[in-house]
Amino acid sequence: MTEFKEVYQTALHDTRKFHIDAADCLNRGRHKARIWRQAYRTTASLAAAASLLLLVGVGTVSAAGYLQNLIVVNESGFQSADAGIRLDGKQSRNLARGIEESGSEDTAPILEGAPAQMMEAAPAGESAIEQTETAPITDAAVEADVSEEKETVRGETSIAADEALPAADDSMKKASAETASVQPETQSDEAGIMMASEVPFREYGTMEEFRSKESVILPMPAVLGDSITGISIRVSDSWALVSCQLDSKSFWMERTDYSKTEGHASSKVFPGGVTNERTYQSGSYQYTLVDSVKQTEEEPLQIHAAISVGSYEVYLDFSGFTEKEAKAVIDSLDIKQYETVQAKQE
Amino acid sequence: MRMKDIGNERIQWQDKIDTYSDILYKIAFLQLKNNQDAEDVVQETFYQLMKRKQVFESEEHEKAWLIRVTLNSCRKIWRSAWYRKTEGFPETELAAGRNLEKDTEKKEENRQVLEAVLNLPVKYRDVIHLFYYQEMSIREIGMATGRKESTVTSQLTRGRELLKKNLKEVYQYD
Repeated sequence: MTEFKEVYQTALHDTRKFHIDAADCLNRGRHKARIWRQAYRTTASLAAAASLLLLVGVGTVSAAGYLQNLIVVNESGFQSADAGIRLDGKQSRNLARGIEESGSEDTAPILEGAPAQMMEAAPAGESAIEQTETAPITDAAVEADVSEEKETVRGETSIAADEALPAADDSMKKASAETASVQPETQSDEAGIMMASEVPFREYGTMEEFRSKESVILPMPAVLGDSITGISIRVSDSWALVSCQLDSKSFWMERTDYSKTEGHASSKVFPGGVTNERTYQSGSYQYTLVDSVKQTEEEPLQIHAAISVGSYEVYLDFSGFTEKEAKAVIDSLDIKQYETVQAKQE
Repeated sequence: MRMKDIGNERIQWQDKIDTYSDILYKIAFLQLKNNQDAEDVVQETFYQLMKRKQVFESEEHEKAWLIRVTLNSCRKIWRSAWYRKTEGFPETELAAGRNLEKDTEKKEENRQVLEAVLNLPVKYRDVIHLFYYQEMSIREIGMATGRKESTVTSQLTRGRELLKKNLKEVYQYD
């Protein structure tokens, strides 16, 4: 009988040999590029996790004209729509058909009730976003200095900037700026409100920088505090996303303000689906919680929470957190701020 | 003189990298099934080693440290919420140029063996690899993975059982 060891060693000997130069390893620019890629992928992974994020907006109205957003759970993840869309059940097939025609993969079950006019052209200035599960989904883990990551991940950039992956800090910024400058606008006069495009956004490597340059409401869970080892904040119009790294854990918070739309429908789908739907009462706010279905037994627990407050839709994603820890984070989030904003607008 | 020192230091690092880079790359690749991520992990492992200028008691200790950092880095990647694993062994990883017809059968056998290892749960995969490819002892594997020797032993046993099942008991594993 053949020795397994012998065959396995031969097989691996026949695989590609890997060689690197010391100069490459020592090169701080290349190191930063790897960290940059890690940060990018960490953020991108959220977009990919919500493998379909479909926002549909029509017209511009005041917050007062916006009907309460509703979030429900299905086997794939969350789906949401404002009450106006949801109540109009007659038109649901139109939206469903439109999404199928968009060619997106892994499409979530579509919301019931979309007005027919939503499948028509979006007025200029309105945006619709579609992201399919195409981004490389890795969180290139290294025992890296987060301070260095902060240095490199900031400024105007875009998802496509990863393509450039420059080798040095300055060239990275330049490439990011160049890439950002050629991003297509997510507005169109052409028919079809769903556009698969990269979304221009501004990115910050620290909360301080974000606070100094943005005025969007984005309360952070107080309990995370010093335990955050890396952070990235991305902002685009009414949408904002925070990605936090906490040693072996990850936390993402995404919030969208629908106050400037007459209606919307969105889905957030997790590969493998979700299970264990439950609610969690935090003060006067009730969150809907689900767990990702584990693909392997080694995977950490992934908890996803969703809540609608005023015209805001907020998603919290926890990876590596226990239920108790996730709830502590939720409890420490001053979500009332979103209601305050709405009250002021009204 | 100073330039010479820098040159010597670089040569020393290069020797170290030449010794371990392929070992670490194979470990990382078997964990991640993705060559780009595996390369990043290995380069970052060496960067950390160089930056820390860590001194080791022995080569064994150094090797164990490098393997451990590599495995930890890989673990962080596949623990990330939405990491997708590549199925099967990528064609590009199999060496090119061995195009003799008689090699075809051998190549297929190699692929089956590699895929059988790749299809093992991660905790068995690294133990099987370190034991059969690196020929490390249970104690050394324990040191490199941070697991108890008894855990390594049971994982090795379980990994072998799965391989026997998947490869239809064609091979001897002792």
